[in-house]
Amino acid sequence: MRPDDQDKSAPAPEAVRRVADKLFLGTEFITWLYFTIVEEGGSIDLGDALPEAMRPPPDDDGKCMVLMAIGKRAVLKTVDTGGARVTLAGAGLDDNGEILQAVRRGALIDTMSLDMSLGHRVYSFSLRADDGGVVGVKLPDLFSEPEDQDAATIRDPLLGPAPKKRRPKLPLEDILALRMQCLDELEAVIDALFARFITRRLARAWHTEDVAGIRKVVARGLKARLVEA
Amino acid sequence: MGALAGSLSYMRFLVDGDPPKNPGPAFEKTLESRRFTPLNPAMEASESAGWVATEAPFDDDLPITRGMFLFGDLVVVSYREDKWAIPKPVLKRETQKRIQQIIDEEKKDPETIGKAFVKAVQDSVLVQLKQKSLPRSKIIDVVWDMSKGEARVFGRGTVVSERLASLFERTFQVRVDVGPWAARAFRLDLGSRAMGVLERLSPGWLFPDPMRAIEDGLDEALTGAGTAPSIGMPKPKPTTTPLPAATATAGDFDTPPWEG
Repeated sequence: MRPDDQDKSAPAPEAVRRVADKLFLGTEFITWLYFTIVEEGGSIDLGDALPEAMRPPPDDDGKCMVLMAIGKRAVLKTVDTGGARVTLAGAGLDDNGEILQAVRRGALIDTMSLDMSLGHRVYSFSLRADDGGVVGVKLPDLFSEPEDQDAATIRDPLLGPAPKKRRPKLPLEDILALRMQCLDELEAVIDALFARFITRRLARAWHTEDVAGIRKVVARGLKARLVEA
Repeated sequence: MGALAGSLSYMRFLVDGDPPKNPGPAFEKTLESRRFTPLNPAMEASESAGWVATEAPFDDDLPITRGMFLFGDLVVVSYREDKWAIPKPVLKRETQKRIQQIIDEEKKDPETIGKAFVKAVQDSVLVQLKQKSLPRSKIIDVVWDMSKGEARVFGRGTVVSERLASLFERTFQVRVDVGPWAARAFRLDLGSRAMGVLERLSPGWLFPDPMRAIEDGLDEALTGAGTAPSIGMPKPKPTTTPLPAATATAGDFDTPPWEG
């Protein structure tokens, strides 16, 4: 190295370096979440991790279950240095051989679309690994009661489509409060899942339990496809 | 994509710093000083950026009063960035046309036209084209929850992570971090031992490379040792506190090492 080749720029602050070293946690979290949803059949008990006001009504066993499903789009980031990404779109991503094969070859999930239900409120959104962003959030219908939705489902088809309810014109403050409240709820679930992931990731049993479980799911899925073929 | 209508796409900023005790008047003043100034076709500036009221982002003369941005603990403003987007080929063609017109009208010799003259004509054409068109606007809503120390920024890309973040810091005198998952991990209440484990954590390998496994197996068979140098393949960094499978129990799962 030539003497004038030395990097004389100021080093990045410690906090910035600390975070930059751990950016892999994003893809690891979303990959872990994918397999957690698949393994737990879409029903995740977040227990006391959610604030009381945001907990869904308890089921027959008294558990507050959050229902989650894999959406229709997933982006996988390959391990090579080129940073190539593979996008899979369509239904049935929760049982997709392409994802299993890609993970088997070292890829991790970078972006994943999800559907989530908290009681009668249903959210659709995508999680991004790189910047922690939440993309394409579709909020539940904020202006109709659950019983209205039930009534809509039993409507006689001969009567044609139900007339669209006109949304009340609310002041800016109320619209903002409603929408931000929904995002608070969504983020509370995401943050609770992330906290659970970090707790497991730092535990001794990460390799023997979580990683082993993921490998098992991948092996089982790929084997089933081999037998089918 | 804004905060008030339609589907939402946003980034979560971690805001570090305490807001003033009386944020209304304080922020009113700082927002006013960094309010968006509309572009003027006659001016040289090709872009302009600043804060506008979320309720009326295109009312350029409207001052941002506290009633428009402060809703309890929420500070709601929008970042507006306007840019002239005159396509270069159009500018070049129009300039050529104008020069030709001047040559025809004034019977000028084309050989005597210098670079400075062409530049002057081009500037004049640019002003005319700007007058005929509207600047391209980008509006990004920002909702800062002062009680949580987080801001939702309804946009993405370098505009958000650099320009908006910088303006936000200067306006509200706080420090913001684009909050990737790693930054959130360090904000969790984990305890000092777990934080130490997190500090040393390296990427986990769900499926270590099969080639490396073969290498390891070969090396083990030849030397009887468990460690083998990898040939051309990246070797995974050791995990924080590996535990042999035989000694791991279901209880380990619920008992993180820092609690033992």
